[in-house]
Amino acid sequence: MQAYFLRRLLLIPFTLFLISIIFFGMLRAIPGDTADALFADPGNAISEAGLLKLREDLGLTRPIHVQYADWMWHIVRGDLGYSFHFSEPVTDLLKARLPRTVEIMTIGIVGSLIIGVPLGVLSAYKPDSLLDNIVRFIAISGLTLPSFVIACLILIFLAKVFNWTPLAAGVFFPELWEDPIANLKIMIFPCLVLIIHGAAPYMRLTRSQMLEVIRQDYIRTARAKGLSERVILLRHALRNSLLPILTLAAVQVSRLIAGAVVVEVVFEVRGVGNAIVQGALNRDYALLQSLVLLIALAVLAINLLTDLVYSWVDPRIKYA
Amino acid sequence: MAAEQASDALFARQKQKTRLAEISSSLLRFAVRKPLGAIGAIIILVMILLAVFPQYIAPYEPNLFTGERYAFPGTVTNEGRVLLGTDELQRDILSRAIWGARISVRIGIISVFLGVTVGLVIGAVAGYIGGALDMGVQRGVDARLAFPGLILALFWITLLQPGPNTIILAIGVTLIAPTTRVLRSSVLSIKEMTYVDGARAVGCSVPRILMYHIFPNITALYIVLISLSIGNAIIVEASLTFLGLGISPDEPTWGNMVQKGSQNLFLVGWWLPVIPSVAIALCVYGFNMLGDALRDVWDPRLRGS
Repeated sequence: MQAYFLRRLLLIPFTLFLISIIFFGMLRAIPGDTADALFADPGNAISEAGLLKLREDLGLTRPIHVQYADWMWHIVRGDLGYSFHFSEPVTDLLKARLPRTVEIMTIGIVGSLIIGVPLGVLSAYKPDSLLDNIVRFIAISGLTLPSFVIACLILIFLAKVFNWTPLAAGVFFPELWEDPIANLKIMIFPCLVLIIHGAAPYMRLTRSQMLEVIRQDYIRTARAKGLSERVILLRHALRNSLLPILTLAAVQVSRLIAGAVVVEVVFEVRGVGNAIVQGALNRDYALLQSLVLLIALAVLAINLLTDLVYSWVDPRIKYA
Repeated sequence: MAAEQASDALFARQKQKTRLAEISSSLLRFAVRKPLGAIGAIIILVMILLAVFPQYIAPYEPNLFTGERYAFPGTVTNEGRVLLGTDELQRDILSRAIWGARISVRIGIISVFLGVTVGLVIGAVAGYIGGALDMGVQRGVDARLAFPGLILALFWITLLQPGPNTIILAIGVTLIAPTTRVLRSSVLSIKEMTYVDGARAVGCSVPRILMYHIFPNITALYIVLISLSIGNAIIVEASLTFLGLGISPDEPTWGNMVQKGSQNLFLVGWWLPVIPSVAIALCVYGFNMLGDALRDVWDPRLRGS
């Protein structure tokens, strides 16, 4: 058991190493580098000699393996490079932005579990009832509508009913620890998008799992013992449906990251997702390559965590 | 001789007719058993028609200026009635939504076809040959799956020049790893079948076994994966375009229209972003429903995936 997780833990740096090589290779294989990107704008043009000087300053004239080793050396020491677009070190940028993104994602994932799982249980309890059909309709809408569409629909609603636009929020952004209520007033809407978007798969999966479990013999036994429906549903049925839901939660994380990117752009939250899009639009390679590793690390860590939680939820699972 | 020929021809025609009847009856059976799948298929057919012949279906050119900004749906402008209103540049929204199908459907279908096919080949070869090759491919898939598809596509577009072909490539590349994983696991079980052993015993070469014994048995899975992935590909395309990383804003695409519409919705019409949103939702719904139905009919093991 411990050996398995140790091996998994050791696989993380290996995977990250693989990703860093692929991504670094891709960046260097494509024509145009940071210097070109900086001065691609005609209004910003500089002379050939200037470009050459800049390349030398940025270390782009060195052999590729030296550049890679240099980048890695800095990463290992916690220096993630300098973002040209935002004119600040990537670490400072993350310090300011990461909490907002983590906040959105945490509320998003917890909220979608809180909404999705009970609705799935209810809809499985009385299949084909009105409630079941409503829940299934919501689930299908959540799956077919892209997150940016849900975000826009919420924006329209806010603008029409409350006369509120995110433009007002973008500039004066209260942090969670400074003014939690003002912060949540703004964050609640991007989180709502992620919750609507994220709850749908949980509803569907919980429903289908519950329907499967409810037919089992031990549920009949529980009924025969005279247990209340509530105890049967929550203690006997839901517990045994939880495992696939957990698997889904891990898969959902990467969908959630993509959702967070879109939502941050729509609601003008200055988080990491917004920075990725800005970096991509402005070809800020230093920023992108650090964020690539960061996202990969986050996803890998969450996958490992899910596997740990598995064996905690279901003691039958043994890793070898 | 001539009579024989005539009877041959008659026979051939009859055979054709029964074949046609067979196909139509099996289609009908599908529609009765899976009504939602049939609805999905109809939506897809309509979308493909819109995508192929927008010039005949759309009432106006996508970039025609009707002479009125933000016209309410149904207003009569200089050019005629605009059923779904006009946008900030006086263009007819209905016509742009119809032309938008062209890009979304094309990108969705081509990218998924490319990505899933490459995934099929890699997954089948790695799964069948196994060993170090399989191990290497699986680690590569692990590395790729550590990324959200949208983010990976976003990086690809940053590296290459934005445009429809880049988006096709970007979405296609992101699909390779997940398909590889699904098809590999399927190949792993097929390769243990006795008929594969039999083929090996008669001395079939590896490419021959893959081509004639493995591939035919994962075709259903392949088609199901394609139809299930197209909906998602359309969402990714629209999201990328919405973020400004896809196709130039002048082109009529659904993502562009939602983006422009949501910029202007505080001033005027709520219908600007809503209409292309409905188009996206319908299209994705169609592909997902058809994919679900095909999966249930052909490959029930995949249920819940």
